[in-house]
Amino acid sequence: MSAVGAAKGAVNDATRELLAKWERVRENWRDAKADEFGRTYLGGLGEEISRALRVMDELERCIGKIHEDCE
Amino acid sequence: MVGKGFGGRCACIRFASRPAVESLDCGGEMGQSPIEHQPNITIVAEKANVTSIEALEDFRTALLRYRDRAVQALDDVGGEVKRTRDWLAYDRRMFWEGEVKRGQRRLEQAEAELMTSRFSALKDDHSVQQLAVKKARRLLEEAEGKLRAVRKWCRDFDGVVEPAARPLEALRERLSHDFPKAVASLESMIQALADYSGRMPAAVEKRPGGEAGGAVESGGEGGAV
Repeated sequence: MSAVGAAKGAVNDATRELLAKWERVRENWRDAKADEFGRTYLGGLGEEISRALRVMDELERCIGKIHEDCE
Repeated sequence: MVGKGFGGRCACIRFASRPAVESLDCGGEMGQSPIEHQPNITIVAEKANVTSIEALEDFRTALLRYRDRAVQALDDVGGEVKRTRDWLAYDRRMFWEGEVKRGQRRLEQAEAELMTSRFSALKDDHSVQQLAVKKARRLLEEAEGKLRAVRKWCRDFDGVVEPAARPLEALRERLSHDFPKAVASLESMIQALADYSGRMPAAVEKRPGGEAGGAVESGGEGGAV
């Protein structure tokens, strides 16, 4: 697996784990502050990571093509 | 885990911008200690409710680990982009330039051998020499094609690969700026709860370079008690 492929897997796994942990924290932290914390710091993280994974996909394809053309 | 950080006590703390606990109010009856009749901690006024300080501490650690892992992944991607550019510009360019030169010499030699063979009065069949010329020409064309591809990618790299990688900077920015603030916000909250409950908060992980896990450039805003 390429370094970009490995990085993609690492970011994907780490994000899943973090968001799952956030769900568990919310069981112990149920208030407006938690809502605000989630909105401010975790809001849109999933979408941003999806975008980053698409970028990494594109980079992986591009770097793969470079290797194929120039090996 | 629930309630463990507070020894099963209930505490109601008024959230305010002021730095200290303002009031205790668990809604208990007059004369009843507010910390004796509910099993968990409740921070009121902004209707805050935290039942486990350890859950917050665990999440703070999870945020720090996440940031480390994600930053490492972005560094790895950046490293791969840079390695590819160097591989193209130096390794591949030199390799295929060398192959083109070798191919030209092979072709010249094969053509010379074919010419010699044709001038030889003893030989009518030149097929071996013709095949050698054909093979040498094919190898040279392949090497020239590869060198053209290397030069094209060298030219295009900064206009294709670099812009493709640029959107990742938004994520790096978030990890560098927002996550430390998130950690600081949690730490502030944990500290306030720990101060109230008389419990020592878990030690903050030390980051490489001596940076505390929750170090922030600008002050965290959450958790003011």
